[in-house]
Amino acid sequence: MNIGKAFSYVFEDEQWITKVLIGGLFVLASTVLIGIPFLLGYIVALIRNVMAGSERPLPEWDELGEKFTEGLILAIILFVWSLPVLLFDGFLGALIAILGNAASSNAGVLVVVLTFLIWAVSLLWGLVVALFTPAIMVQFAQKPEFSSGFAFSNLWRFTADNIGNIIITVLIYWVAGVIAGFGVILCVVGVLFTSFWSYLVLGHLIGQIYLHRKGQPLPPAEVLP
Amino acid sequence: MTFLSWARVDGFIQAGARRAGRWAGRHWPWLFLFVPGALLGFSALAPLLAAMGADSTAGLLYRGFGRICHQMPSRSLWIAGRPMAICARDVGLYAGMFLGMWIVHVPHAHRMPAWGAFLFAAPMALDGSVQFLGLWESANSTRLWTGFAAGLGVSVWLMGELMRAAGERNSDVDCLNDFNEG
Repeated sequence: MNIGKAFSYVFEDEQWITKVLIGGLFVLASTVLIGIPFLLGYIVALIRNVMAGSERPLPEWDELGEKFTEGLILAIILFVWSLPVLLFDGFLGALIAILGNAASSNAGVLVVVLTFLIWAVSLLWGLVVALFTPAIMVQFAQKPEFSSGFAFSNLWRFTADNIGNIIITVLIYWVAGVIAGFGVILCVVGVLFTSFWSYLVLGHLIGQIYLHRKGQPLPPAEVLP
Repeated sequence: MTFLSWARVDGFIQAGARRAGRWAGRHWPWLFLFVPGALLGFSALAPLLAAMGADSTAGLLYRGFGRICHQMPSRSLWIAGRPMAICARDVGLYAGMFLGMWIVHVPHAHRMPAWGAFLFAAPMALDGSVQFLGLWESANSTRLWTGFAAGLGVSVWLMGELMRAAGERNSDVDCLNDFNEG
């Protein structure tokens, strides 16, 4: 994988300034949720361009309706993937609230244990989702349908075959996020544009995972009964 | 086939997303109006909720806005004896953006060039930079108005660029048809 390229390809586009500034607008719109489908749809288009080996993969901000459609479906997929831990945390959180009202030292110990359990399970499941997200997005970029996010045999095979590159991607995205944090220097709102840049880094890396994949090309997402 | 078969759920979500996408594709310029308006509204709501004793909800809003603003009380406007959830400069920014997203629909307003947006943003950049270097301490009124100018200019320019890039046909926004004809 070409990690340097993932950081620099954005600036090779002739219109990168406009595209990144517009992306920052959508990041701002994401604070009230509206921008999330547009952003996700843009990242899917980016991944598709990288997978196709495009020299200038940074997409145009056109076909906003199509981007919104694909981004919305992907957002629902990622939400469903997060549901198990959300339900688990919600259940334990309610339990903690009940125990918190009990005047007992045993209850206090239980609250500590349950709090640690929430933290541990959230961390573990977060790692699982992070490791599977590249496969989900590659599968979705190939076939932008809801079922693509739950073609478990394909997702498992892709993740297992490319686990090394996926771990590198997760780590590099974390680094990009730290760099993006320096955007606060630009009147704080600069972080909107640097955050968008970090998403572009992630998208390029995910596309590269596909290009450098081990194993067979992914078949179409299986149709579940 | 059961009522809740995977294929039915898949089809329902696909159809719903396509319908939402068609709607968003036509009305996205107006969707953007909601963003600065909502940000201003919620940032003003936080001190009001705190004044009414709804501390946990107010705290949620303050924490949320804390990710995009330093929230220094001395640099914020105050409502009901409490600072807004965003600083005075950001209030100006979002107010300018809100106005800008209306103005961009005025004929030819969307043609604002990048250097025009730079001119609008320059006072804010200058005020912020000089303050950052410790050469002077700006006032909230200056922060408010320079932020307003920057938000207005940049939003008109960027929305114009986005409209050019989108170049959507069959839009209910008249100025988009200028791009298709021009």
